[in-house]
Formats: sequence, C-alpha cells, structure tokens
Amino acid sequence: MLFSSMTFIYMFLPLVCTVYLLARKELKNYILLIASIIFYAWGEPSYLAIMILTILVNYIGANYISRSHNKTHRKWLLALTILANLSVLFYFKYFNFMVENVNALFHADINFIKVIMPIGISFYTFQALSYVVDVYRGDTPAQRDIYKLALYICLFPQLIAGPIVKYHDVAEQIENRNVTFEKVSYGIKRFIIGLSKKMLIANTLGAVADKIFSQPVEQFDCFTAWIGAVAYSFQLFYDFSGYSDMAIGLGSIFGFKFLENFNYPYISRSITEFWRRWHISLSTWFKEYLYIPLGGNRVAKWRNYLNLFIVFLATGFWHGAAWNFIFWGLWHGMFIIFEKATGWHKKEGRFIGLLQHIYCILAFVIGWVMFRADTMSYAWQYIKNMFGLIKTHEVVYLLPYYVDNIEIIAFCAAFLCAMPIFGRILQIPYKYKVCRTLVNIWLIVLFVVSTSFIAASTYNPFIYFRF
Amino acid sequence: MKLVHIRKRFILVVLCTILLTLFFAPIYSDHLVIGLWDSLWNNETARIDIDNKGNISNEVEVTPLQVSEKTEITYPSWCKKEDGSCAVVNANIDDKWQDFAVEVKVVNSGKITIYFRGPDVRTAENIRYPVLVDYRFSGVDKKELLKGRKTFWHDNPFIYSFEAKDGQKIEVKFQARKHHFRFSDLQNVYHMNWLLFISVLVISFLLSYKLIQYISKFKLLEHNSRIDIVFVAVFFVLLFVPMSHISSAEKSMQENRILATYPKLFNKVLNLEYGKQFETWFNDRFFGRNIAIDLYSFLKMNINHIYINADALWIKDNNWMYREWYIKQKEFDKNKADEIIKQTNLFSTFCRENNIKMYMLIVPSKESIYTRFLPKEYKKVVERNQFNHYINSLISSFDVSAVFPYKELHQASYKDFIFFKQSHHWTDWGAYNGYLALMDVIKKDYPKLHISTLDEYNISTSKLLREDWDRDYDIGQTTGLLRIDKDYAYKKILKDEYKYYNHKNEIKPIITDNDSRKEKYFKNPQQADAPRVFLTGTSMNEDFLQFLPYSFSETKYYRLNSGKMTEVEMYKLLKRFKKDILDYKPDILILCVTTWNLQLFVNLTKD
Repeated sequence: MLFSSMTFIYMFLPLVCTVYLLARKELKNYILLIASIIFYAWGEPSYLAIMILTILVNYIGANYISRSHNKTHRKWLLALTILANLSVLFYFKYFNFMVENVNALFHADINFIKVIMPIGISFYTFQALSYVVDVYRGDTPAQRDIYKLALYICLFPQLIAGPIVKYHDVAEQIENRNVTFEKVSYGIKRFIIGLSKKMLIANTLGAVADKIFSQPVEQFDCFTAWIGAVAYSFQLFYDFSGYSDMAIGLGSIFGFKFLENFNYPYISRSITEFWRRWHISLSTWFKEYLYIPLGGNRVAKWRNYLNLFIVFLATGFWHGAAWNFIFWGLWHGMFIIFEKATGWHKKEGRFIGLLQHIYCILAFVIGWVMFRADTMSYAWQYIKNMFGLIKTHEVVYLLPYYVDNIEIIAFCAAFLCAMPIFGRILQIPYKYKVCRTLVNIWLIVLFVVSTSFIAASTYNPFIYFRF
Repeated sequence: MKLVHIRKRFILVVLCTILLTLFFAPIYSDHLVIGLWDSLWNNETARIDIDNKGNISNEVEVTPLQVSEKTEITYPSWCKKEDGSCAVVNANIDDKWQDFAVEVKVVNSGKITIYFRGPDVRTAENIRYPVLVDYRFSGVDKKELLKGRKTFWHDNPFIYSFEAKDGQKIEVKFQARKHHFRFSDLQNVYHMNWLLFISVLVISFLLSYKLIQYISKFKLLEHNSRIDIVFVAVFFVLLFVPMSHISSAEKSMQENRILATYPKLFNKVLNLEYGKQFETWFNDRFFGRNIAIDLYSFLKMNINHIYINADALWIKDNNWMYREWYIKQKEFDKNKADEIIKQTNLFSTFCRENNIKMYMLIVPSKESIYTRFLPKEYKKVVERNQFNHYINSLISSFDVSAVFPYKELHQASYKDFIFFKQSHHWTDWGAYNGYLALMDVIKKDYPKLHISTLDEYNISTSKLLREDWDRDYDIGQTTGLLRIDKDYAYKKILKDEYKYYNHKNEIKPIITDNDSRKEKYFKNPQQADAPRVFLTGTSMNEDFLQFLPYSFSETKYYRLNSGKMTEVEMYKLLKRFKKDILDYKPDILILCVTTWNLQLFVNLTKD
C-alpha cells in the first residue's frame, strides 16, 4: 500500500487512527503491529514470510548475543546474524545483477532467478541490522518481547521508504510513549505537507522528467536537457522527502518521534554538507555501522579515503542493483574525497560561497542524471547534451510540450520550498491566531487538492470503445 | 466542571448525534436525506410529460401560454417510440404557488396522457430517488383534476389520459411550488422504519457522547488551541468522507467502462491479489470521486494553456481539441505491417470467394487534416512522423480497393469543418467528402450508381455536435473525455456553427441496439436496382450514413465497436460477421475505419 493512494488515506488511515486513538494504552502496540502487517501484506502477501523470517532471525540472534559473555562467541553470532540478513537482501536484490555481470564477463550462461524484490526490504533489513549491532555493542538491551521487535521492524509509517529508524532511537518509545493532541495535530500537518510535496510537486515535475528522459538524447536540445535534469532533481527530493514527512507525521500521530531525514540538501555548498542534509537516516546509518567500524577518520589519510570510497560504493549499491547506481555512489564519493583532500569546501567568502553553491549543484544534478538514466551510456550522452556536446540535433518536441503553466508553478514552488523559507510554518506560536488559522486552512486546501490529484489518477476512461 | 462547559458539550453531543443519525439514514430509510434536501431546498422544477400514443407518427406540439420565461419545453429523443412520442415541460418553481399554462396541439389522433411529476434526479449509481413537487388546481381544458394540495415525484406521478383528435388544441393549466414538508412524507415516500431509526438514534447518541467526551479531554488536559482542534476535526471528517458511501453503479458512463467489483478474500484459498483488487474497487467507487476528479480538471483547465486529460488535449486559444494518440501516430513496425497486409488480404479473399466486392475507406485523422491549428510543439511531431504518406504506401499493398481521402478532405477543410473542433469524429461535410471519394472508386465497377448531390439535402445548423450512434446533439466526445462541464462547454467552447445534412426523402433505418449488437438497416426503394451493401466500421460511419444508403438499394450497417468486447475481439471480423455476411449476401462490403484502427487489423480473420 502506498501512502499516496486513496485506499491508504481514506480507508486504512482513518480506521487505524480511530481504533488506535480510542484503544487502551497497553493495546496500542498490538494494534499498530496488526495494522503494519496488513499494510505490508496488502500488495504482496507472500513476502510477509520474509519479513517474519527477518524478525525471527534477529530476535534469536540478538537474544543469544546479549546472553553470551564470550567475546568470540558474540562476534560469531553477530557475523552470523548479519550474514543471514544480508543473504536475504542479496538474494532478492542483487543476485540477478551478479549473474548478469558474471555472464557478461565470463561468457557464462547462468540462469536468472524469477523473483520480485519484496517492497521495503532494503529499509527493514538495515533497521534489523541496526538492532543487532546495537545489542552487540551493548548500546541497548536485547528485546525480550518479540512483538515489540516485530513492531520496530515492520512499523508501517517508515516500513517502505524510511526513514531508517535506528533501534536505539526508538527502543524507549516502543516501550513507553504518549499520544497527545499536540502530537496528533503536528503529525497530521506534517503528513499533509508530505502528501502535497509528493502529489503536487514531485509528480508534476516527475511527468516532465519522464517525458524528457524517455526521448533519445538527440531529440531535445541542451536547455531541455537541463530542464529534465532539474525537474528530476526536484522530483526525487520532493518525492523522497515528502514520503519521509508523511512517515514522520504518521509516527507523530501514533506517538513516535522519528529523526528528520532531510534538511534542505539543495542549499548545500559542498557534497560533504549535502550528505549531512540528504537522506540523513541512511548517511548516519552508514556512518555508525560502516564508516566508524572501518576506522572512520582516525586512520591514515589513504585509509580514510579508502573508507570513504567503500562507504559511497555501498551507498550507491544500496540504492539499486545497477551500474548507474554504483557510478552515482562513486561520483559522490569522489567529490567527498576531493573535498576531504583539499578542504576547498571550508573556505569562506561571498564569491567563493557562490562558486561552492554552483559546484555543488552541478555535482548533484549530474549525479541525478546517472541515477535516473536507464543505462550509463544514456546518462553519458545526456550529460554531453547538457553541455552542448551533442553535434547533431533532431529536435522533435519543443519545450512547451514538456512544460506548461502548472509545471512552471511546480518549478517555482519546488525552488522556493527547497530553501528554509517556510521552515517554521508548523511552529507558529499560539498567540498568532490569524497566521495559525491561515496555515491550517492552507493545509486543508493542500490536502483537498492533493486528493483531487490522487483521484484523477483513478480516472481511467476506456477511450477506444467509442471510436 | 463549569456549567457552561457541560452545556456546550451537550450541544455538541446533540449536533453530533444528528449528524450521525443523518449519516446512517440509508439504514432506516430510502434516500431520505438526499431526497428531502433536494425537495425542500434544491429542486426548482416541476415536470409535466405529455404523451401522444397510437402510431409512430403521433406527436404533440406544446407552446407555453403563461409565465413563458419560466417554462422550458423539450422533445427528448428517448420519448420517440414506435407508438408515438412525447413532450416534456419543465416549469421553474419556487416557494410560492405559481400558475403555469401550456397549449398542446395534437399531431395525429391518439391517446393523450399527461403526467404531473417531479424531476428525474438520480444518484451516482443511476438510481432515481424521490424529489417531491406540490401541485394544486391542475386542469385540462377547464376540467379540474386536482383539489387541494397534492404531492408527486417522478416515479409516483398524477396521470390523466384521454383520447384526442388530429389538430385538436388542449389547454393544460396547473399550479406548482417547491415541496413543503409534511410528516407523512417520511413514511409514505421515504419508507422510514421507525424501529431502526430509534436504534440508530440511540447508538448515535452513545457514540457521540463518548466521542465528545474523548475529544474534550484533549481540550481540558492540554489547553490546546481551538484552531488546531477544528483543524484536526476537519481532517478526520474528510478522512471518512470517501468511504461514507460506496457507489454500487455497474458502469461509469463518463469513463465508458465497467467498474471494478468487490473482490473475494477467499476463493477456496486466500486470494493473494485481494489488496490490489480492493484498491481498484475502492478507487472506482469512493464517495466524491467525480467531484475530486472535476476539481483536478478545473485546476488544470484554468491554469494551463493546453489542457490535457486522458489522452485528449484542448487548445484554449482556439478551442480546437485533439487526441495525443493521433498526434503521435507513426509507422508500424515491419512485422505488424506485414500481418496487417496479410490479414486484410485474407479477408478480401473471403469476400472474393463469396462474390462480394470489398472496398475500404480509411478516414484520415483530424490531427493530420487540421495540423495547422496545433501548437507548434505538436505540429512538428505530426509533420515529422508523416503518417499519411505511410498509410498511402501501406494500403498500396492491400489486395482491396482502399480509399484514403487525405487530399480531398484537406482541400475541403478550407471550405467548412471537416471534423468537429470538439470531437475526433468527422462532420457531415467531412463524411460527404469521404463518400464522394469512395463513390468515385465504386463507380468504376458500378457505373450506373447514383451519387447524391447536396441539392438533395436540407441543411440545418447548430453549435452542438451530432456525431454518434443516435446523432443526438451533444457537447462532443473529446469535451466529455476532458471532463469539461456541460454548462461551461455551452458558454465558453461551443461557439462555432456546424452544418447538418438531412436527406429530403429521409430513409428511416430499422435499428437493433443491445449489449452485443448495434445494427442499422436501410432500404432505399428509389434505387431498387442498385447493389446491396454490407457496411461495417467504427463510429465514423454514423455521419457517413447520412449519404451512403441513398446510393444503394439496401444498406446493412454493423457497428464494429459495440458491446462489452475487447479490442482484439472487436476486430475479429470474420469470426463476428461471417454468418451475417453469408446470410445477407451483399454485392458490396465496405469497411470504414480510421487510421488508428488499422493496427487492429492483425486480427481480421483470426478465431
């Protein structure tokens, strides 16, 4: 089930909220767990088994680790549990990619497996890993109640697209949390903002990007190529951050407080800063569970660069089993290492600040082209087109085909909202009643308009019939 | 707790109870809320139907005598039946009694029946519900029919019948007003079940009490802003609206498709597709769906230069509407083209073997004829794809006399509208030019054929479109596809006059129209020696039939796209029509389709 679907918003959510908010405190976790299982099983019930397996493996693994006093024993148990988690992830996400490359490299003929990747597997596997490692490190006790661990792993607000909630951040909240009116009200507002980001900005600009990226690169000019790249950059940000907002909002309705996942990444002056602001839950996960265990920056320079290289290779790989994701990860890793080596991003001054902005925007926009393109060769051609390096153009569709007034409005909204102008819109003090009222009315309007966009996607006329 | 708080809470509980009780009205009544709401506040129409029955030519002519500006008289097409036709008088009413009078002229003697009723108002599921109208002092030719106030609605009218002679003039007088509520309506009209009502009322009260108590805790405990309380309440009310009423309609007229049915969770074993099927079902049927989609259309329509929805686009600057499919048409891949040629030729062989001459008329797309009104970003696509040239080369491989009148239509498009601006269908003028092009070819084989000239036709004009099966006046297929409101279309879009051609000696066809078949049969005694035609194809034929039957002795037309068939099934021509063709034994078979339909010819002779 998707957050931006009629069934979720207008069937699942009201029913779950009503039952949850009216239920006694001791029942709330069970209600959320049942809701989460229904939510997950909705689209593909068969993959529920994999999630249950993940829960069992981590429950048993973590409990054995916590009970064992033998260091080697604990290490082996940890390695075994991690291996089990990663094996499942590898099988569903990376196996066919590996087969494809082995076949290509060695002219082998290994058969592909017929498998569809279970939705959200990358997210919940990383959450499960965070739990086992936290228990191993002694940061948190092992969860004795399997239902509570199950709730942590499959809690529906962040199950499908994050944020990746680390166990030590929510362990206490699973045990004991309060649902207050303030949290519910804040959660609803945050949910509406996320939904609007997704439906009104991301989907509108996504359609622009889709139209452009579906054309052969010779069929649009340099300017259109930039429009496509920028549209996709905004689409990705508003889609993902919108989803995170909805997750954080839903969490708040149910009494949880999840950490922020985005903090205006597009105002960054360096890629190092970008990764402090973009998909924070993933970057901190890699920092805590990969970069620091590898030695972090308390090692020799070359080793530090190697660690960064590994982390960004893994980041790229985590996003998808395709070479363009790997190149995208390495592309970012390259800039991080460059910044680490030169310290260029730390220099200050108005002019240099502007240069840093331009540098950073260029770096991530080009990165997103790799991320979006179906193949690396298309990405390369596209990037060449952006810089006017395609010699022969046979432009078929002109710019107005891709962009009309709604898209221009979406671009403007995307541009403005990417900056911290409206950051405190939900924290207006009670004494400013008019402002607060206007914000609330505006949010309801956004909600209704977003709903109309969702409803419009269900309009599916059988056009042919009347011809 | 202060007394004022308790009083406020009590008022809230009462209000909430009333709302809940009304919300659950379908449990204890039959369209009570919507019916009463419309009767008491919304409805502004009293309706009188006047019927003249006897034979097919029986009619009535109605003219208003009093308060004429408040009386609208129509002769809807559904009225025309084999035993006569009727007129509908819609009288504009308000809260006070108003006098209305109309004169009815009888055309051909017959039985006149007058129905005093309410308007035909239906739910989204197409179920009519009672909208009441008060009548008194109704009279026909000074004979008083109703004494005192009487209340009627569409399905429960007051009916008065009498015999009348040809040319007789009858005066119908009545007084009507908006319905004033009477307690007996609940029982008699809305079939109130009092036991169920009391149960719902009590449960609603208990629920409201608990709910208000729960919500008030927030207020008392945390001293939250009222603004936020209202905000949260509005949000939760909105959340419940779509599931408050699930449409039970079988199909959506606007989308022209069958709506999804509720899936089974268990079908011997667990239905693993249940979630997806449930979503489709809910997406098709949630309450307020049309309003939400219309809001989206309204926003897009008013913000963008070009409004695009479901493949259709409307260029607001010049009111031309196009279809993206046709704009983007480009040549078929080689395998498909080969299969189209093969299947067409196989079908042609079948015709030849049965001594039937086969002709094909391929209607060029509006987008290729009127490329000049497309915005340049689209014009370039049509020009680049050169689909017309491709069609010309493709049909040259057909073993059939195929006519593709692109040049003729393009030339004629400078004289008058070849296509409607608001539909993909051609106009009568377009169909006539297509007819001339086709007859030029057929005449080579049948030199004595009569080709109709425009002198044989009466010409009328209208801003509305006549384009499909019943040739009723409408706002246009593409306008409908774009979900543009009818009133808006009347005011803002339909500004051009279209010409309609009706033959002076019009042949009335025998029509078969049901879920599985759509047929029209024309017999033309004036061309009794001319060949017999079997015509099939898509809706382009509806305007084409204004001309074709006047050149042949008999024309039997089978609409291709009819019923609940898939596209593939529709185009299995041999399978569908073999028996009909062999039974009818025509001299000529004409297949008339658009360029878009050609791709489906891969199925022509398949089983």
